[in-house]
Amino acid sequence: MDTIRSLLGSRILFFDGGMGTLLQQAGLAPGELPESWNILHPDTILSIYRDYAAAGANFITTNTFGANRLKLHGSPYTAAELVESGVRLARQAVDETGRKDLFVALDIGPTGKLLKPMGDLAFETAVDAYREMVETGVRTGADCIIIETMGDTSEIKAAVLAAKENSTLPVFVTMVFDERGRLLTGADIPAAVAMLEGLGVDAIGLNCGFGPKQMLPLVDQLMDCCRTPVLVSPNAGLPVVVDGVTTYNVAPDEFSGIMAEIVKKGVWMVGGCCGTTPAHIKAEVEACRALPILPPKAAVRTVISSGSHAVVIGENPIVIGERINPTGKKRFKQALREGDLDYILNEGVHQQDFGADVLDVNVGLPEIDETEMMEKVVSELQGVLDLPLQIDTTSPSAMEAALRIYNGKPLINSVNGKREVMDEIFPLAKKYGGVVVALTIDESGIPETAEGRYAIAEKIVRTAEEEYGISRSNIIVDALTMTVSSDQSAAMTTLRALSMIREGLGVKTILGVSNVSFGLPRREVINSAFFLLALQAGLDAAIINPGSEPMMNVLSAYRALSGKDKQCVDYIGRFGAQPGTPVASSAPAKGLSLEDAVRRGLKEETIQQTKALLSDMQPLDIINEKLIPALDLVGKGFEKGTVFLPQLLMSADAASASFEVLKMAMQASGTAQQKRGKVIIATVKGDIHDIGKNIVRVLLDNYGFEVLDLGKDVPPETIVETALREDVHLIGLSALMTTTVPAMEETIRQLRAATDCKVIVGGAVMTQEYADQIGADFYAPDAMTSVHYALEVLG
Amino acid sequence: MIEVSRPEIWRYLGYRGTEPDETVKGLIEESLSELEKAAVPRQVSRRVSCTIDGDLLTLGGISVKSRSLAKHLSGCEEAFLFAATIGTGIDRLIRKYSRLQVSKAAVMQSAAAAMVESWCDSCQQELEQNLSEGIYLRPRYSPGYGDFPLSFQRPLLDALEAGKRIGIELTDSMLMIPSKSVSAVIGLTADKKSCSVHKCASCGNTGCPFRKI
Repeated sequence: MDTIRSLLGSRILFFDGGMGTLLQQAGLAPGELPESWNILHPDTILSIYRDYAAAGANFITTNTFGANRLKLHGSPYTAAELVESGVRLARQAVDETGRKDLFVALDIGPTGKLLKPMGDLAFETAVDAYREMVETGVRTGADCIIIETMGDTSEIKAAVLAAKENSTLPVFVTMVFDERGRLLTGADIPAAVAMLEGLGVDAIGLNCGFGPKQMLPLVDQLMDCCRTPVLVSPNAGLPVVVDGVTTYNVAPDEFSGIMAEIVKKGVWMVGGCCGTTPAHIKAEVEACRALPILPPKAAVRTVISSGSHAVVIGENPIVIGERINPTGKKRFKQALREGDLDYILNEGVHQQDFGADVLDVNVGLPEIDETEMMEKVVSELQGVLDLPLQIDTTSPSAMEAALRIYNGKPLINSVNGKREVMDEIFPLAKKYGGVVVALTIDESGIPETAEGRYAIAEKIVRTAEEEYGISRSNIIVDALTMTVSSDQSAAMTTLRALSMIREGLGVKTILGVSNVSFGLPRREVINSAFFLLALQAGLDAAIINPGSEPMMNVLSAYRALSGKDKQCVDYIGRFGAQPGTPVASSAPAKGLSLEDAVRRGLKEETIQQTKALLSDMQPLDIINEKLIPALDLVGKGFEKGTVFLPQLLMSADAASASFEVLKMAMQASGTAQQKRGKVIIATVKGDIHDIGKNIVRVLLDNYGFEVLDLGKDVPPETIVETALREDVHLIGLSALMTTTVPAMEETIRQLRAATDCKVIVGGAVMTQEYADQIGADFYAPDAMTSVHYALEVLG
Repeated sequence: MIEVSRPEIWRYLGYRGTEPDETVKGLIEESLSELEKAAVPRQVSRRVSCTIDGDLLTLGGISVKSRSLAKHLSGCEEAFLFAATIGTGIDRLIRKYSRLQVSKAAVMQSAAAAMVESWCDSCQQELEQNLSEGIYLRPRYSPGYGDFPLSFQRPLLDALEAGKRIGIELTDSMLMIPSKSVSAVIGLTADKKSCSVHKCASCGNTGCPFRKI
C-alpha cells in the first residue's frame, strides 16, 4: 500500500505488542497452537487487536506467526485457514476504527526448520510454504507484511522472495541477534543488512531476544550500516520463569523511556514483542510520537555479503580468487565433467587459506548443464566456506539459479554496455540484490581509449540508475586489462580509464589483473608490477590467484605503504615470523618410502614421494605396487584392532593426495586408470549426517572403484533411477538414526523391484539383525568391510 | 572455553585401553583448536513440575509415556527441561572436512561430541549450584534413551523455545540441528545417592561400543 510507504518517514510509526503472553493469560494451554484461537476464540483475538488499535498502534500484527504449513505438526487446521481467519479479524478491527493510519500487517515467522545444507529443508519448499501465507494474507486484505523473529538469512531470503513474488505490499523484516550481534545461524548485522537492502525490503529491524535496554548497542550497530528505515520491537525485558511461567518484568513506563532513546538513534518505527501489552504500546506512543524523524546516518557503501559477514568494497582493496574457473585448466574441466565437487571445494578452501576475500565461481563448460552445476557448486561452497561469492556466468538462467539460493548479497559477473545483456542481468540484480560488475565493452567492442571506456561505463551506470533503479553504489566497473605484449599502450590506457571512471562516476573498480602479461615470460613479474600500479590508481577489487605469492606480497606491501594496514599489523603478521627466504612448511622425512608415508598418514611426504617416483615409474604401477599394498596393510591392521579409525583415515587421505598427483600425471600423458566398477553410495532419505558415508567413499575411491556419491537425504527413487541409468550393480546405503531405517528399507524394496543390485548397509544404528530384517545383502560394520565386499562383488 | 577431556575423545574414536599415537594426538589438538574457535555454546532450561503415575509422566503440562523415564525420575516432583548446543559453526567445519579430509572430520566429530557433553556437564553443574540447599540433580535423560520416545523432542524443544533461543531445530526425522546439541530431562531430588548413578549404567543398550562400564 502506497499510503504506508508515504507515511513511512513522515512521522514515527508504531507496531503493536506481544500476542503470546496475552493469549496465555486468556487461557492458552502449553503446547496449544496460538493461531488456532483465530478459529476457536475469535472474540479474544479481536479484542486484543482492538486494544492495540486503541493504544495508538499503526499496525495490527495478525495472529499468524506460526501459521506455516511446515510448522503445523498434526494441527486440524491448514495454514491457509489460520492465516485467513487471523487476517480477517485484523481487517475487521482496523476497518471499524475508520482510521486512515492503521494497517493490517500479515505476520510471518520462521518455518521451525533449518534450510539445506545445514538442515533438511529445500529452499524452494520454504519459498512455497511462505507463498501460501502471502497469497492468503493478500487475498484476505493485509496491507503490509512483517517477517519477524527470524534467525537465518537463508530462510529470510526465502520469505522475502515469497512476499515479493506474490504481492506488491511493503515488506518489513526484523531479526533476533544475540548479544554479540549475530544471528543464531551466524550472520552478523552488516551481513543481514547487506542482503536485505539488496532484496529491497521497506524496513529492517530487530525484535524479540532482549529487552529494550540490552538492544541499545545492537541498534547502534544497525544504524551504522543500514540506510533503510529501521523498526525495533524488543521484549518487555529478559524472560524470568516464575512458578514455571515465563514472565517479563519491564513495566510500560520504563519500557517507553528506553524506546524514546531508541527512536532518538534514528529509528522510524517501534513496537513491542514478548511480554509487551497494550499498556506498553500506549506509553510508547506517548513517549515517542512527537520525536523527530532523523535521516539515516550510515554512509552509502558498496557492500557484498556471505551467510556470516559483509565485505565492503572501497575501503581496503580486496582479493577475488579466480581459480574456480575451467578456462585453460584440464583437471578442472575433468572435475566438472565427472561432477567431482570435492575438487572444486578444495580450490575454494585453498584460496580462502591464501587470503581471498571473495571467490569467483565460473563453471561454464559446453558439455555440461551449467545451470544445474552452478546451483550445486554455489550451494556446496556456501555450505563449507563463509566467503562471499562472485557469480560468474554468461547464462542468465545459471545466474538466476545461483542468485536465488545465494545466502547473502553476491557480486554479479557481469553486465557490459550491450543493451541485450543489461536487459537480461539488471532485472535479476534488482530482484535478488548484488553488486554488478560492469565491463567496459559494448556492441562495437572494447574502445581503445580511456575516454571510450569511460563513456561505456557512464552509459551502464546511467541505464542502471534511470531504467532499473539500481544505484551506482551497486555497480563496480572493470576497465578491462589488455595484453601489453600486443599493444604497449594497453596497460596505461586501462589504468587511466580506471582513474577516470573512479573519479568521474564515483563508482568502485575491479580488474582481472593477469591478462596483462599474456605471451610474456615470467608473467608474475609483469603481473605484480601492474597490480601495484592499478592499486595506486585506485583499484578496489582484484581478480587474481591468491596462491600467487608475488601478487599477495604486492598487496600486503601496498596496504602497509598506503596506510590502509594500520601499524603494518597485517604485514608483520604475514612476514614477521618468517626468515628472509621461504622454507618448506615441513622438512621431508629422510628415507621415508611412499608406502611408509601412506602407512603413517603423512600427506605432504606422500605427495613428495609420489612425485619422486614418477620420474622412473608409471602412475598405474605406483598405484598397484605401492599405494594399494600400503592401504591393504593399514586395512588389515584396522581389522585386527592394531590400527584405529583415525590412522586408517589419515592413510586414506594421504593416499587420496597421491592419487591426485597421479591423476594429473596420467592426464598429461593421456592414460587413464582402469576403474574396478561402479558403486552408488548414499545416505538415505531423512538422514542428513554423512560422515560415515564419506569415509566409505574415500576408501572405495582409493581402491579404484568409480563411486557415484548421491549425497545425503536421498529419496529412494533417485537411487533406483541412478542405478538403472548408470548400470550400477552395487549400492551402499547409510542410516544414522532408527527413524531413518524405514527409509532404508523402502529404498531396498524399490531397488529389488527394479534392479538386481547388491545392497550394503551401514551406519550408527545398523546391526546384522536390522540388516537381515530389511533385506540387505550385506552388513558392513565399518568402512574396510565395505571395501572387501565391493572387491568380492565387483572384483 | 569448554574444557574437553582427551580420553573421552579417544573413547569416541574407538580407542579402548590404549592411547592414540602422536600423529593422531596432533590431529586431535589441531581439530580442537579449530572447534574452539567455531563453538558458540548456548543453553536453555526450564524448571517444571513432574508427576508420575505408573508409566505416565507429566512434565510442566506435557504428558509422555515411558517406563524407563518414569523409573529414572522416580521420586522427583520437579525436573528441568534442558537443551544445549555448541552451534552451527561446528557442523560447517565437520561438513567441510568430511569433503576434504575425512580423517580430520572423524576426529572433529568425536571431539565435538565430547565438547558438547562437557558443555552440558558444566551447565548442569551450574543449575545444581543455584538450587536450594539439599536439592540435587539426577543425570540427564534424553529422548531416545530406553523407551523415552524420540518424538518427545518436539514438545520438549517447543516448551523451551529452543529454536528461537538457542537455534536448535528438528528435521522431519527428529534429528537435532545443529548436530552437536543435547536435549534432556533432569530430575530434581533430595536424595543425593540417586544422582551418582553413572550415565552408562542406567542405559539398557548393554552392547553399545561406547559403554564405559
